[in-house]
Amino acid sequence: MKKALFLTLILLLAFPVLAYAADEGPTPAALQLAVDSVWVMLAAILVIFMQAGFALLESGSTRMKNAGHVAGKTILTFGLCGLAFWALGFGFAFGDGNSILGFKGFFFDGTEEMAAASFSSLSFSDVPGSIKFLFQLAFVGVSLAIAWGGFAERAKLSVYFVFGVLFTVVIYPFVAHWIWGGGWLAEHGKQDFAGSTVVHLQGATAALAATLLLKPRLGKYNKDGKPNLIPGHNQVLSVLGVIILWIGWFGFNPGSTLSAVNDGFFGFIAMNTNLAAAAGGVAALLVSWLYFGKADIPSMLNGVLAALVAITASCAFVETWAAVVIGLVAGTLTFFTAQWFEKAGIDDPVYAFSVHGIAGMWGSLSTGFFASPRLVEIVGVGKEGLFYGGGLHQLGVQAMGVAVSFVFVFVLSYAILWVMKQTMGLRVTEEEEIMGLDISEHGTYGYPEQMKKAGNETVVV
Amino acid sequence: MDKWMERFDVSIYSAVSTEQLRGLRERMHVELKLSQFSDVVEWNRTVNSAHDRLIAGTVALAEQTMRLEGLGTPPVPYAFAAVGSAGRAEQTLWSDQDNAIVYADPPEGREEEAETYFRQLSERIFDWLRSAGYPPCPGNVLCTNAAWRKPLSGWLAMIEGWRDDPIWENVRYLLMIADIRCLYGDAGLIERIRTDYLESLGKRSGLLVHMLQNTLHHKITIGVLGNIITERYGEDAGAFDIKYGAYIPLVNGIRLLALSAGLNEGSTLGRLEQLRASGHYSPDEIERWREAFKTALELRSAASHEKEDGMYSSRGMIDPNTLSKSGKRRLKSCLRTGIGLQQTVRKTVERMAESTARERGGSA
Repeated sequence: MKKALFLTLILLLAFPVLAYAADEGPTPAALQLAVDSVWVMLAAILVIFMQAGFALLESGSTRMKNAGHVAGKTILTFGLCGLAFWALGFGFAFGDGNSILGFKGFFFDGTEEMAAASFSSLSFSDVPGSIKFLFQLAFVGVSLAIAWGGFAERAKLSVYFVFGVLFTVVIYPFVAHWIWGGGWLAEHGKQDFAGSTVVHLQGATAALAATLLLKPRLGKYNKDGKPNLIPGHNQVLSVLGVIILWIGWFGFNPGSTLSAVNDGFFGFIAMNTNLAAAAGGVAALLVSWLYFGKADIPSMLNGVLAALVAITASCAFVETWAAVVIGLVAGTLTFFTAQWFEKAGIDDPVYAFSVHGIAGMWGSLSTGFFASPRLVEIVGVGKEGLFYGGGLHQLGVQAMGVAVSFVFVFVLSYAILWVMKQTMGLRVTEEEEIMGLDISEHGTYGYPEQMKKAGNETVVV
Repeated sequence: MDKWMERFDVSIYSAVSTEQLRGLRERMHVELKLSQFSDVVEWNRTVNSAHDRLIAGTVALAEQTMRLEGLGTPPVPYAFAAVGSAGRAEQTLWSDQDNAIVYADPPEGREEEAETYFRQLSERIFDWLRSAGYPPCPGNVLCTNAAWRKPLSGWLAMIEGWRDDPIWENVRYLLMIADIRCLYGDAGLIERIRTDYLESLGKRSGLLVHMLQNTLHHKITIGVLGNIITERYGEDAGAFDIKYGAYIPLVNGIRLLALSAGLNEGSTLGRLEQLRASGHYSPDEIERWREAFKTALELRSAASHEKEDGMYSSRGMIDPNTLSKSGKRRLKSCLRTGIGLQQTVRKTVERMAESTARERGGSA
């Protein structure tokens, strides 16, 4: 008898709908909220998972002796960013304020009251504030991860602490506010659906400033300026990283609708995203084949990422055929700029500025060409592009947004890093760089067995 | 130039020390620059004559000093031969030494004595050539290597062994033998090797197919769009590998065509002449190949070179940016011709293999 009673209770718990027997069930509005929330939550998770993609890509593309450091700092900086963005960055970027910066919403408590009171720029979406926060945090995290590309293999760990916080609080929020937080660029109709400018160009520009101030890695250039190949230690990790980023982008772009109830529009965005990535990868591989005589895998990976970066701004504004073209151009353009930077003596270890900066600029400008009227109407930002009879207006707005953002981030990053260079120093010592950052910054190797063996033979730079 | 060669001859004849030989090598570098000649073929002929004489002089001197030191005289007739670019008479001013010694089969009981003598001779020659600025061949194709210092019967057996087991490495050696040339001593011994080699090649055309893969291994380096492909990284970043990207593929291709036609000739230009005479290919085609080869020779002589520890060497790289517009055009034309040549080689050998198969009533 007791057993039967017990079982019934368990069954009751398994069917909570029995408890609802008295109500009518959730209202359509509540259902919409739930569906939107689940979608944006999923998107946030996908974008946060892109941190894994960055960890794999960056460590695969750098040397074994730095692997633990490069991979590990991804978690460190995402943690720092998570705290700093919650404390100050979110408020500056999306809080109510003026057209330059937000002044409300610091130390967000996750309640809907605070969300409604402080974040009117995000109020177009019914998704709970906490999920919106997570989603935006994921984006800052990506932007910061991109910036680290310029620091790879030679920056001190303390630099990551300091610059990680400063980027999240002082640099990123400005441009984010201007374009997404209800700021002045948004008022001009700047189209940047998921962040070619806000996320990728910002991160890449900071990377560029760091690359210039840190100077090339030891052994990268000979005395006569000829570049040496410093190959990554594991192409498989790099490829896996790019695949994770590709998949993650399905949260990045379509998620930026901040809603799932939009006649499947977020599906259209996903399609554009995928088409661009495909075009970019194939184009880059073919171009490398023609140029080098051999199809180059790292170039292909860069092409995929560049195309994804480019379509990030335009995914909701362009037709599918345009997505292919944008991806193709991004993949090709990035290939040549990567060669150019290397020849020019700028050592960008994971090609951060070519892939995210140049492609970010191209992507942002591309809506000025390809934005189609029907899509502009759906999204409600800006005007149609040059190829649809919109003239040069939108292109001008896009160009202005790109130029201003680039200059702002570059000057500010360079200034901050320059001050850091004078006060705390940016770069590890020569011995530390040759030994590897794993052992010098962290005390153990990421690949202890491999490095122990290598330690007995001649050390290769 | 004949006067120069005469004086050079006299200097070699009267040289009694390695320092003097070294000095003569340096004279070559100063007085035989390409710019002093109107035609690269002339230059090539002169430089190689000078090399031949210098090397022969070194061997003679080595022999002489061994006699004076009481180490004996050659117990049997022998030949000092060269393979590689020396064998083809295509050395630059910075080539390395690829050499071999073939000696007549010693009579019963004197094998030990012969082996000892020639070993000591080879070591002396090698050392002196090295101090005269000829770096050793990195593949150890040297008379100091016992495999390349044998009696005639040993040589014929070794070559037979390569033919019986045509793995990649052995086929590479077989192709080298096609270039072998006597520089000093009994040329008849080398002739025996060459005739034996060509005869058996004629009987076993299956070998040609093996040689095809080896021959086409080094591809002409030109992009699909006709762009010159240069090195990406390192010391030679931005440079074009004229040796392995143009010269070697041309040499290998023409060599295999000559072998397929059964022609006994060791130099690339000589092979082209004989191919023209044989009528297998149109005079226009031969002329194009000849032009391409001349371009390769010329650019190869312009490759950057070093002098390290007293030895001259070159990595065979040129910087396309130093070429004039017409120079670049000639290089591209040379490379395009090279691609055509490699296709012709492939077609020729495959056709021969097919016809042999048909004769035998099955596949090769």
